[in-house]
Amino acid sequence: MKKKINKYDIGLIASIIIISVFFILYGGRDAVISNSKTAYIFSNNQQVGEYVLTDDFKDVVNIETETGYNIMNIENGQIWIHEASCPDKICIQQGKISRNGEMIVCIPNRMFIKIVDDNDESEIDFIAD
Amino acid sequence: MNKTHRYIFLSLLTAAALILSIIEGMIPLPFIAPGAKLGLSNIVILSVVVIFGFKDALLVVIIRSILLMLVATNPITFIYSISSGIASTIVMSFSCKYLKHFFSLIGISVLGAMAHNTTQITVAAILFTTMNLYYYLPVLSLVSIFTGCFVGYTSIFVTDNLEKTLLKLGREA
Repeated sequence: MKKKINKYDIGLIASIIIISVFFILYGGRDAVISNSKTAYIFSNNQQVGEYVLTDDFKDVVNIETETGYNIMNIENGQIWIHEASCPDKICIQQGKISRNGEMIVCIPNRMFIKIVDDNDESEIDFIAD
Repeated sequence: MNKTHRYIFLSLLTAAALILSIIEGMIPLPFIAPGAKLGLSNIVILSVVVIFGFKDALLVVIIRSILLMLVATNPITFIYSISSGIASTIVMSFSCKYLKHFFSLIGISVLGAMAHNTTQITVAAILFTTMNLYYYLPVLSLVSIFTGCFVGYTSIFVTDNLEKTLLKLGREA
């Protein structure tokens, strides 16, 4: 067993960094800010809410299941969770989301929020699921 | 090293892995990426893979996950921890066996961390029935490189000392 870091390790690490940065920059979500975004709220694989995010829409939503609750705020075209029953509070740490394709996931409560740009047709098949 | 010595060392290492998992649950890394963890118990798992081999490492991972569920977390977290633990153990022992002429423990640990992340996101994608979670994989991979290097570097010291201890034990017995 080799004891010190060698060129193969550095090669592996460098290639993973390059691939990850490539996917972060070019994969998945695009940064186009649009005025017709919809936030879909799913709980236990079922859609429980649908909110069109505009600058003047303001609401507080409480999603409660047998595993716990998530209270989310919608304001200024952004949506975020400000209180939750889950032990790790990772859903709160994920912060405010407002762009197409961004998600907030709460694994303990099996709840997630996803923003879909209404102009982007490539996301439609996700909703039909 | 006889059977009793082996079992005593494996149970001590399992206890160490369990305690490291519990401590790790108390210090998440919210400032880097939500959901990312240090993977401290991976230090123990990697050392067991190197010194005792694949079967014992699998045993340690499974017992660690079951005990962690009973002590600190819930059954849903158990599904994630056991599946990703088994996957990373398989990847690490495979690379320990066949790729050890290329990689040091740091590379093996990074590979194990990658397997851990990929499995965890796959399980989440199955439970949530959506493929969109994979967009988070590159972020987690970047973080896992740093934590993987840290874990690998620590494991080098741990395996060094553990090997010395076991040699000493073998001479005395």
